[in-house]
Amino acid sequence: MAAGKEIRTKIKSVQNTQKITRAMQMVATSKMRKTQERMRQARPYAEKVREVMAHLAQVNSSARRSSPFLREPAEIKKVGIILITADKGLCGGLNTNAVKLFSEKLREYRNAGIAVEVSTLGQKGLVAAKRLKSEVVSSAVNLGDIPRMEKIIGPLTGVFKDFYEQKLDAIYVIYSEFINTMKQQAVFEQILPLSDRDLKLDTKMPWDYIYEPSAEEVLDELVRRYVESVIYQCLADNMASEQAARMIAMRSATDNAGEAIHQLSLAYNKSRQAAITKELSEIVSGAAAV
Amino acid sequence: MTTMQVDLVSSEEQIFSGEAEFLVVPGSEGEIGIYPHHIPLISKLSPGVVRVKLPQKEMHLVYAISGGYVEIQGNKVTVLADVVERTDDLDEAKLLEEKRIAEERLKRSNVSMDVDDVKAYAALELIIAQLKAVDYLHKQSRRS
Repeated sequence: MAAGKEIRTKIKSVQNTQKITRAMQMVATSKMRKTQERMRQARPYAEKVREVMAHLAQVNSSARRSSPFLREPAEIKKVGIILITADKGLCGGLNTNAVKLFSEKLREYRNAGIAVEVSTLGQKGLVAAKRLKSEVVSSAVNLGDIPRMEKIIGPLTGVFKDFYEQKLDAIYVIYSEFINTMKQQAVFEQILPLSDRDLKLDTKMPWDYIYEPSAEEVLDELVRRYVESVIYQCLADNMASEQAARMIAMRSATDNAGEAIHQLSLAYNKSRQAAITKELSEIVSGAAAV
Repeated sequence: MTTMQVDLVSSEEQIFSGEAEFLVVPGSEGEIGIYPHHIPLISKLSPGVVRVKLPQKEMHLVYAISGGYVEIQGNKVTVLADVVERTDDLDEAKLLEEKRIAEERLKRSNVSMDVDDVKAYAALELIIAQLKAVDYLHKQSRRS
């Protein structure tokens, strides 16, 4: 009966694991809903800032030309990458995919002789960036489950300043885009300089504003806010992806545990049956011998 | 009386959206009062109080903001605030205490400002804005 007892212990332990994964799955489900809500809530701000900024850039071309944020660099010597990942693991291939994309890009730039500075949001990205021996200039960890603007402004300020002072020629972001609950994808997007798509307006509005203090100052600050809100959106997306990925990962873990329990109980029943049969045949043959 | 469309959004969510008769925002060059059909304007905002007068209502809605932008075009006013605090759940005594702590902190490190000091300073400005909002609410309730 020794084998039977071992299997029983094993079943017990798998059951415990299953309890944990099921709980994590449910937690991730409810958190995912919350982060998705956040994602939606932040949209009006980003859209409004974009509108105002695009309008200003269109009607006031002198401010547009003089803004360091809107210049088109002639040659790219150094770029900044903002790497957004989750703080925690246990969410399938989410972080791995983002880091893989990051290391590919890093290699690409290194081969092209372009220097890269990195700013990371999230624990996993920081660890990976350090492992890949990239130049990490700023980072934020322990971002929590709800994206907070104040957490990301600090690390971003340095990167923006470098771009503003023309130490960087472009800024990119890597994050996991939330496509749907089943699908998240690591993406690489350009943040600065702004593309024409960002500055485009559908309707022509020829009038100009009154500016306080000055048009240049207002435009620069607006671009900054716009970029911050874009990064915020990326972070919100990433968090929704994280929870979705964790939910899926934990669901399959729960299913696998169920499967394992089923197999183990079959094995346990079989071995018990075998033991009983063996004992019976022993008794029968013992009786026949007498 | 005519009204205008007012949107108050913070970087994290939409705070207020609707028709209003009159609006006051803390512009960087001085307080700006806005009536419907204002000339197009973009202005930076300092930390302070945003007041919204709704049609057919005596009381103003009051919000404390930590800075941002106001944009006026057509008959639409958009307030892009960095951080917005609603004033219905503000506690004056707690705010005064927070203010005292923040001020003391800043007093200790007067010469070289590090990142935390800048943060504390920004927090202080928001607290002051909140206190102003509370003050305004008191006055308003006394009047009515």
